[in-house]
Amino acid sequence: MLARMLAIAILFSSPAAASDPAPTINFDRDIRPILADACFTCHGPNSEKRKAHLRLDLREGLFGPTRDAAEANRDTSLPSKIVDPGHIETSELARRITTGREDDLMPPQDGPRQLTGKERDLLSRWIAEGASWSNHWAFEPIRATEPPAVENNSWCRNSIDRFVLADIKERTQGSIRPSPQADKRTLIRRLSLDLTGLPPTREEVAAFIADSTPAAYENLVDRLLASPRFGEHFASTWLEVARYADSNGFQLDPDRTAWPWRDWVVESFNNNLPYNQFIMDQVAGDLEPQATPNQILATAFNRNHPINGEGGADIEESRIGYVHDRVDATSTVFLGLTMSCAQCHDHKYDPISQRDYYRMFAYFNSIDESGGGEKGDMPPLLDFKDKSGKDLKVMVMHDKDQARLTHLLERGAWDHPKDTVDPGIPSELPALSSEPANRLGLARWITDPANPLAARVAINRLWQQIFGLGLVRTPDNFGVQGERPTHPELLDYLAHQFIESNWDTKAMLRLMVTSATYQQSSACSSSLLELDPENRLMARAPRFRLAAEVLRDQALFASGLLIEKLGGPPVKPYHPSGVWEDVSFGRLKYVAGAGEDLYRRSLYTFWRRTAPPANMFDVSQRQRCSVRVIRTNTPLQSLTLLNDPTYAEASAALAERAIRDGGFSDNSRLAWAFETVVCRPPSESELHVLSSRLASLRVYYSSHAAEAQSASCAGARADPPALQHSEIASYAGVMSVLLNLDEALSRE
Amino acid sequence: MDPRFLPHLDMTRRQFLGRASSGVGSAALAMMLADSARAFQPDASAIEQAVQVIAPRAKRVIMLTQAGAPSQIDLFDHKPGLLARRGELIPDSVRMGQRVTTMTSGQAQKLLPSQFKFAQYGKSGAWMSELVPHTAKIADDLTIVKTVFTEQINHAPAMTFFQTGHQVPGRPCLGAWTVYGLGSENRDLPGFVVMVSKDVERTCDQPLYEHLWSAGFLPAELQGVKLRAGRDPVLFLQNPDGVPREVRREQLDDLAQLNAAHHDVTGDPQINARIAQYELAFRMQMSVPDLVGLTDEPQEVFDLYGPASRRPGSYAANCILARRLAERGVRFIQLYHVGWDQHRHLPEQLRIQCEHTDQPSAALITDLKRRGLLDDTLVIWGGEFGRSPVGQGDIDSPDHGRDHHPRCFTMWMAGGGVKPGISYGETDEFGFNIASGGVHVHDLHATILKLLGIDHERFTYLYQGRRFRLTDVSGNVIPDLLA
Repeated sequence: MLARMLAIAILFSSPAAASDPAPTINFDRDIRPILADACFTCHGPNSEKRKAHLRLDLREGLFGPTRDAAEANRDTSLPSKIVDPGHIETSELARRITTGREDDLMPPQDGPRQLTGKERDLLSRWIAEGASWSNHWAFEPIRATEPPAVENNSWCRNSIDRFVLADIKERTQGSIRPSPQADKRTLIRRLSLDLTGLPPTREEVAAFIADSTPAAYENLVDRLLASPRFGEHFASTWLEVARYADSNGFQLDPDRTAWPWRDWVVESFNNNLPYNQFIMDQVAGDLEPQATPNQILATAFNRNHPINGEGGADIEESRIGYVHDRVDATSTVFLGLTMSCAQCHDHKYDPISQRDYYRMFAYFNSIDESGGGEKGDMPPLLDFKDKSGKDLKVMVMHDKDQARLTHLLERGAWDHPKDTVDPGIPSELPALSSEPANRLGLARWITDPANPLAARVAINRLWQQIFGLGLVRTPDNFGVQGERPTHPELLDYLAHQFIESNWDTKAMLRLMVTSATYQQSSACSSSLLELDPENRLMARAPRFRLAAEVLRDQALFASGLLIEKLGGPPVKPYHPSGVWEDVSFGRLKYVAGAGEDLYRRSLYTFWRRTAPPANMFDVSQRQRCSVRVIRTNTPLQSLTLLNDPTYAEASAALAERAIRDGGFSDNSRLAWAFETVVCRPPSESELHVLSSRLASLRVYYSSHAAEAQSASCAGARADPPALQHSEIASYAGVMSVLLNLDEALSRE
Repeated sequence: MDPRFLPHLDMTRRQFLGRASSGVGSAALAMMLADSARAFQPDASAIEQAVQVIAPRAKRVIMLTQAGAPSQIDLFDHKPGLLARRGELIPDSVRMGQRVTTMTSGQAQKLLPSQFKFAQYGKSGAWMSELVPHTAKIADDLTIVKTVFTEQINHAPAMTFFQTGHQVPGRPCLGAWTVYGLGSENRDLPGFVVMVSKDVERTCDQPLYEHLWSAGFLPAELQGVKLRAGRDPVLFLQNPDGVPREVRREQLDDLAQLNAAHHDVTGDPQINARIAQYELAFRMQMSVPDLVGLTDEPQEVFDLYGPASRRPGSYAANCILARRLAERGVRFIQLYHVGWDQHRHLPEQLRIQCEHTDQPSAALITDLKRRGLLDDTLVIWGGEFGRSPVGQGDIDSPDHGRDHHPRCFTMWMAGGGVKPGISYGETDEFGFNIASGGVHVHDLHATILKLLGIDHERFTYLYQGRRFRLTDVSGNVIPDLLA
């Protein structure tokens, strides 16, 4: 265990923690995080909290004179500069963090954050070694990095791998190698789940195994990217990010017609709409020259927030709340910035002043809207015809003719307006073209190829979707308090390629999934696990539990129940009785749909904001924008996957399928079902467990007709003939085990 | 590994850490060690600096949340001086520009004294009205705070503020913070349980939102688990029809065997955690019905909590469940009872509301006390704000009511280290403003955490680059409330 701790320290803490020879200190990687966490609260961007007029977040402050020196009343025995490169003894910072004079010691002893001994050493060493300085990485221009040259690069399939391999070699001095390629069955299941959210069929697995041509894998990738399921799967993640719901939330929680926007997202992914256009349309589609109805529809992104129709609410307070939400969503999802932190005061860590915040706010403040309303759909609305020609009204963005005056709000309080501000981008971020001074200008600024954030943030989220976690593990924070990328050069390389390719999402995903890095096995030796528990080296593929939506879709797919139909109004599959009624005290009643509605993909399930679908665990509450992945492991999930009627019916339907299509012996049927669920045949011992259970269940169900009927006729599908009840129930008991295998629940 | 079930900690790791003692422990540390697949690691040092640095007085909390805002002016905050001023406009010098909701902003702001009889009770001489006769009997066990105040004037933001310290949804609630810091003492039940009561004669509806018991940015395992009345007290607790418990046992045996074999292939420690969660689910299928069944409660218990306590889902039944959960070591137990939003028909509806809640609330204190549980269980009663001493509607008609009032309202606490038999804080002669001893919601949170042995200023969680606290950037422990 101790060895493990040491090894991790060497691998992942700052280089100075490693033993001789000490690597060079990188200011942005090693020093700024300490200053930010320990010092910026009082000596950072926040002007209100700033002490001694000192800003350590700026180069001028860090290397400037001390206050005493600046005011020419200094005690000459004390240093005159905050940091004097190369000279510890004349650097006030070095003195302040080590001094024995209690009043001078920094950070203050009674404060919440103290420096560790290691941090003090690092700061001192940094000064002694010349105190190099650089800007925060995420605000620097994206570099056109070159994949490093690596020896033994026969493992590499594309440029991603050269970055990964070089990093593994450098950090582990060659003691670790990438994992071998996963077998073809694992690969096709992984690829199908990652790109389409559904597993492959047995036939597709067989065809892929049989295809020994060199392009077999690439062809599979292309086929999956071209499938309409691709758009559904990627849209489903975007809906979560974009706080999509089919109701307003809050008190009355009336229904809204948001689904045409959801269908626009599905189509955009399927048509491979360039990602910069995807941003443009959602932020400012209504303002684009000759805007099409679809472009206007896209702006519903900024109307996805909850709407408060509470009786006593002040409508202006509510309206301002919606504008705050738009700033939050836009800055989080497109820029990776925590702008909301600057709502009440200057940001404590990042160069975003409160004025900057309200300049951003001004972009979203001129919507021709009222803050009140107990209806679901509140103007401005787009008249829209669905495919059947039915008239719909969808909430979209539309500015008033005369822009609303935007005030800086004191401490963020809606009823404490101060100075007026004009729309504008944060003053310390790159000043790229942002004309005209409205949302269109903002969208142009975000998507400017020189914007350092948009492409990096987008790549990071794609990486997170494909590799389970982002290259930046704080996808919602690219600021100084966020994590640095595990592979900064790789992130920049991909971001640069993305822009060069005209923001081609499918091409980027293709690059990611055709890498050797992606195709590694996820099996992990205990030594690799101990060395790299968080898989920051990427010397193995990640293995993680599938999202709740994917699990439901997979069960429907394997059992043959899934109805694949693209788009349309939301549907209401099985849902426990009383959940809606409980939150609304009986006012809202859940009436499950019938027929096909019970078996559509999960992204079409009606999303009530005050009571999300009960079997969708680990999902965002859709109250605000959320880009984090949540993967917990609780007994409530086990109960859902074992007992939810969806899964009970899937078990019975899969049993019927296995009996019908799986051959004539128990073993062949069980093997057929096993392979249908996890894409590989069972081992002999696995088959033995299953067939023994089948035998014991037969004994039980053959003498318990009522139970056999209940288990075999689960759900709303057509009941099987009475003669088969006992046999189907027995198989269904085994199918439930298969659908709950950790292997079935995991992306391997 | 689910932090709510701390005794499941892998022994070797626990021994390695020298943390073999069970009971109160650091859930955060357990998570950090046990779950390598977690995307976000808790900050163990922040927990260690904050938790148990002060001696805890309470081991668990029962929060009796009265949603909709009980009218303190008709229950606890006795203002006889209002009688002479009935119908007068509230002086501007008193109102001081206080916002009202848009429901009454258009009408004259006329003072309205309580029509209910008040008297003093117990050795402490606490004032209470005729609507809460049972609470009156336990007056000497209570710490009555008359000067709680908040910043929000509408239900959703105020309730969110009360639960999470912030008016916009998204932050963790008090219950999640508590379990994050202290873990759980029961291996078969969640550490944070929520119950929303339904009473037959509903007076008015105020919706509740799942986000009120959410874990916010804390690990999602910490969210409150809602116990529902009826067949499935926990969602999906029951096996599907036709799958008896013995079949389920066999299925789980197979699952464990197949999963364990697969663990040997993949080396993923998450598989072991998954096996443990399936077993825990199986145990919950026994422990939860046993908990909610109430079949082993004698008649005198139902008598104590009142006639509604026989009816599953009632506030009274949930109060019995709260005591049973406390007995089983559940860390944070929260009841929500709605229906206190008397904008109209206050005289009639407030009475009904009190009939549903007064006896069970008092019974819970009595019951905990006689079982020796009150000493280390902190019970808190109150709403998200109060009601105004100004009337709403025609104050001479029985359908009048009172609007929201965030400036001062009454809560009471009992047990768990608070000083019994006191009334804290004074409001002015109108019951409109705080005259002395204001207790902001952040102060209340700071005091609750202190009673649990947690320093609210050091109890932080790093999220989006900022160390968040339940008490945000303020909050002071109120020493006079502590025993």
